Amino acid sequence: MTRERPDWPTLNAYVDGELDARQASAVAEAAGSDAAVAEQIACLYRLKGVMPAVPPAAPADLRDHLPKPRRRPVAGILAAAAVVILVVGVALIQALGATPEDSTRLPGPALAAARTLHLDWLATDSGPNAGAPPSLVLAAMSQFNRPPVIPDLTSSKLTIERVTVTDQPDGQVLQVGYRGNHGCHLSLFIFANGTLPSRLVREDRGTERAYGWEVADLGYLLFAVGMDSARYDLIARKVEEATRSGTPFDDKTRQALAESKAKSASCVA
Amino acid sequence: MLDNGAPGEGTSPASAPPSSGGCRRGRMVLQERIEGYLDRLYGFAYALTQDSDESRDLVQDCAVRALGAARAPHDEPAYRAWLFRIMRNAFIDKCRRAGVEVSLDVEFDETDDVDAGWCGDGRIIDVLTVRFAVARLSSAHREIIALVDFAGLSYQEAADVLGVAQGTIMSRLSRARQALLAAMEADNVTPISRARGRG
Repeated sequence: MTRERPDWPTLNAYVDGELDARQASAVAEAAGSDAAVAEQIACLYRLKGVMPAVPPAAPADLRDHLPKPRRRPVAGILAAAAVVILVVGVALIQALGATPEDSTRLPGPALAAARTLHLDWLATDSGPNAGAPPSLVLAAMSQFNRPPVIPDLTSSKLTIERVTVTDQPDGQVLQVGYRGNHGCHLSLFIFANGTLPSRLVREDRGTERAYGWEVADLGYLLFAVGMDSARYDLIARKVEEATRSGTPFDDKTRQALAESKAKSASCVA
Repeated sequence: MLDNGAPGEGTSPASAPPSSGGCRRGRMVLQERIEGYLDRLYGFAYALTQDSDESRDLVQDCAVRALGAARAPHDEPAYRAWLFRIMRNAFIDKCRRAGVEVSLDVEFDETDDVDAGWCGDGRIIDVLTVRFAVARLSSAHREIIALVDFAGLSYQEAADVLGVAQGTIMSRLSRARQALLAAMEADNVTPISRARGRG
C-alpha cells in the first residue's frame, strides 16, 4: 500500500503544532519512511527556531512612552468642571479683594484638589464594598511625618471605603473617603504641608460643603456634596476636636453623631 | 489593495465580554496587559513598516486605541488577536492618511507549486539570512510570518486578526515560508559555521 506524502502546508502545520493527534501521527510516520519529508520538517523546525530572534526588540524606552490609561469620560467631565469652578472661584475671590492667604477663606489650590479628588471618587465609586482594610489606612498614614488623626465615624453610619495618597504641587494629600449606606460620601483630606487656616473655616458652594483647619503642620479639609447641613457641621466640629486632641470620640460624641444622623435628611448627590 | 473590511478603531470581537476598564484598576490592568505584549507588538509593527520610528509610532497608536476602547476581551487568546488586529487597523489607517497603498490582503498566487515545498540546503537558515530575506518579502507574506512566527499567534488567532478562515492561514503561511526560503536561497549566502572550540 502506498501512503500519500504529506503536502507542504500540512508539514508547516505539523511543525506549528496545529494538527490533531491523528494527523500529526500520520506525518510522523511519513517522516520515518521518507527522507525528503524528514528533511523538510527539519528545515521548518530550524526556520521556526530562529524566527523569534529575527524581529528587532522593542526599544528600551518604549514602555516609558506608552500613553497612560484614560480616565472615564464622566470623570474627565467632572474634573474639567472642577477646574472651571476653580477658575471661576479664584476670579470671584480676586474680584472681591480676597487673597488665598485670607484666613477666612480656604486656600484655592487645596480646595480645588479636594473637590477634584472627591468628584473623581463619586464618579468611579461602584457602591458599598468591604471597606478599606486597616493595613491600607496604616500604610497611607505612614506617608506622613506626623501621624494624622483619622476619626472613626461609624456612629454617624459612615465607614472608611477609600484611602489614597496623591501628589499635589504643594505636597502629598491623603484622602480618606467615608461612605454611608445610602450614598453619602464624605472625604477627609489631610495635607502634608499645611496651608490651611489654623482655625476652622467653612466654605460652601451650592451643595458642596468644605471645612478646613490646621493642626501643627497638617492641614485638614472635610468635603462633602449634598449632605445635611446640621449633620455635616456636627461631624466637622467633632472631627476638628479629635484632630486637635488626638483622642478618639467619647461616648457622648458618638451618641450625638448617631442622633444627628437619625434626624438628618438623606444626602443629595 | 486596502482592507476595507477591517474593524474600526478599538473594535473588539462581538462576543467579547466587557472589560473592567471603567475603573482605574481596570485601566491599569489593561495597560499592564499591553506592556506584556510590547516586544511582540513591536516585532509585528516592524514587519509591517520596516522602519523603527514608524514601528514605535504604531505601537503607541495601538496602545492609545486599546486603552481607549470601551471593551476588551478577558480571554487571553481573544485579547491577543484583538490587540494585533487593532495594530493592523492602525497601520492601514496610517497608510490611508498618507495616501500610501498597502497590499496586505492581496490574493496569494495559487499557481505557486506549494505542494513541492522547499528542497534547498537547510544550512542557509540563520537569523541574519532570515532577517535579510524577510525584508524582501511582500507585505502580505511578511504579515502572516510576523503574526505566527514573530508574535507566536496560533492559526486561529491569526485568522481572527486577518478576518479569514483558519485554512486560509495554513495556506498563506506555507506559501510565505516557501517564498522566504526561496528568497534566502536566491541570496546565495551561507552562514559561516561557528567554531565550537579553539585549536
